Amino acid sequence: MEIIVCLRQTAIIKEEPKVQSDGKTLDLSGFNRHLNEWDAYALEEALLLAQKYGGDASVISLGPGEAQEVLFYGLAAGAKRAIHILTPDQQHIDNWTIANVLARVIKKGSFDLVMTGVQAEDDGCAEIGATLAHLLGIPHASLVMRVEYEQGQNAVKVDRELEAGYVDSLRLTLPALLTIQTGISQPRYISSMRLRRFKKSATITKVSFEDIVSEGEGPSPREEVLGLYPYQPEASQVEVLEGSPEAMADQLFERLQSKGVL
Amino acid sequence: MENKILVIAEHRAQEIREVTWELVSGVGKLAEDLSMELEGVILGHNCEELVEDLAESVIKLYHVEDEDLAFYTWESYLHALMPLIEEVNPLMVVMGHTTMGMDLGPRLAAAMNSPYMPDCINFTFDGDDLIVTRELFGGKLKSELKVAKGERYCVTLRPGIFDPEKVKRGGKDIEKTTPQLDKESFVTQFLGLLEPPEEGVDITKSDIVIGVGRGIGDRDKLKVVEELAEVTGGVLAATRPVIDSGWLPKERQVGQSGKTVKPELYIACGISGASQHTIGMKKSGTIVAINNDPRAPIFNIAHYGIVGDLVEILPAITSRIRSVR
Repeated sequence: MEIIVCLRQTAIIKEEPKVQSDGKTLDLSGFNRHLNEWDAYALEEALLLAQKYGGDASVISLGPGEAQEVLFYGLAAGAKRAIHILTPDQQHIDNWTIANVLARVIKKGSFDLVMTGVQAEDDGCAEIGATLAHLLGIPHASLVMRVEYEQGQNAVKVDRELEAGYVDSLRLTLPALLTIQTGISQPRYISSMRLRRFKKSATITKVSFEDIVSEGEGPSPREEVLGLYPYQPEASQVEVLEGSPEAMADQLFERLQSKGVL
Repeated sequence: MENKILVIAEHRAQEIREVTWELVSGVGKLAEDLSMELEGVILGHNCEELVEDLAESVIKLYHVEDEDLAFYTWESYLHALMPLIEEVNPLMVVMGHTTMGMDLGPRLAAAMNSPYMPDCINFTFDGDDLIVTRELFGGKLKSELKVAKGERYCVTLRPGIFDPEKVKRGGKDIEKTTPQLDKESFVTQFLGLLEPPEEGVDITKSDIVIGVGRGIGDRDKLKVVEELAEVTGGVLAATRPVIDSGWLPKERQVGQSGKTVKPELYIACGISGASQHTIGMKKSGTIVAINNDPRAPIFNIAHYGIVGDLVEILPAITSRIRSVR
């Protein structure tokens, strides 16, 4: 089984993100980056499927130069090949364009399964997987929590997670695309020594974003950022308690008692 | 172009899902403000009661009936919806950013060749321009976007942003249709809908819920949260990352894919407040948030906030309560 896993590098935002003077872009230069959490599960599931049923997993990512870090991670985890679609730095590229460019590159090879995480930590859109499936002309299932390959039927049987504990069970004819939910398995641990070794020796195939875009019609961007606004408590109802842990505990206890909830 | 918004209804286990009532109520009001008409579509099989129920809340309801629409799949819905959307010709198609909306929305928008705006918390029109608001990084930023002009738009709205009122809007104008589905060509086969398993602890029944999130850091620290749950007589619940780590069983998960709780008191410990979680607890009577990040979006919905380290704060609260019991 040939599996392609789409990986995205996301910034880890712990402090207040800085909106640049244009009011529309973020300065993420000071922030660490890592493999999007959902994609780590997609990668692990792909590697487990390839191991169980035979075949290989490849990884692909679209982003600026530093995005290749997630591809080295994928290779160190066990992927056989990596493709980096190199984009210009700092350019906002919408998900419609990303899905189109990924589809054009993926179509050049052969595959049985394409896998992505359910969504990205940065925009939370959950958009690329199903859009990509449409552009590739293949079936898809999102929020997948279990995958079973049915070799005789050239199909996969999957369970989709729905709300409140409900689960949908589906059979998809291959090739197909799955977006993987966290918790399906536990992503493997990659030591920093192993990662360094792969960074030194592994090969990543580079392709240019502009070249791929120019190969066909469009795609035209479908959104324009008008403004970014850091989180502000909206005339918030919150009363923030202050002081030592004991003082805050006293204040909280008083308030909860007077409301009758303790 | 018709000046109409078409809401795609969701139902499961013979019930219209709450998100649908939120949309017909909230989007309906926005539509009125924008001088647009709200119409709805419900796809299903033997669901006449649901059709009757929903029909009053929209100006017109399209009822698409077929045995292959008894349960949602992207493929049967897409094939049934595309000709209907062509005929109805709405300016915008709206659904909830639910497990159905997330699955169907991008695919439907791509098939319609329409801009897709997912997980919006607001939308409006500025002249002919569609403007939407979304959140980034789990609610740490808001993003306002202008959508490229399209023949029509496809939007998913976050559940929980509108109240699920059953507004009377229409005169039960129902148009029933049977779609032409080329079932032989389908590559997605629905095998079954599995119901939630029987559970040990029902967190929805407790008046006090102590929620624990990723901020707890490691499993050993769960002890301080367990002690607080014990002294308050509450139950321990958790966000998805804690459940994924295997620290607590799935039956304890609060949020979109877990349970919805509405206790009198919810104490959120180390929970940042991403929408997937807050969807399941924001209607709690009193919400206390304890987090070391003062910018955590959980403080936006909390009544009382404490910024600090859980390992110092929680034992102090536990000890204070224990002193009077």
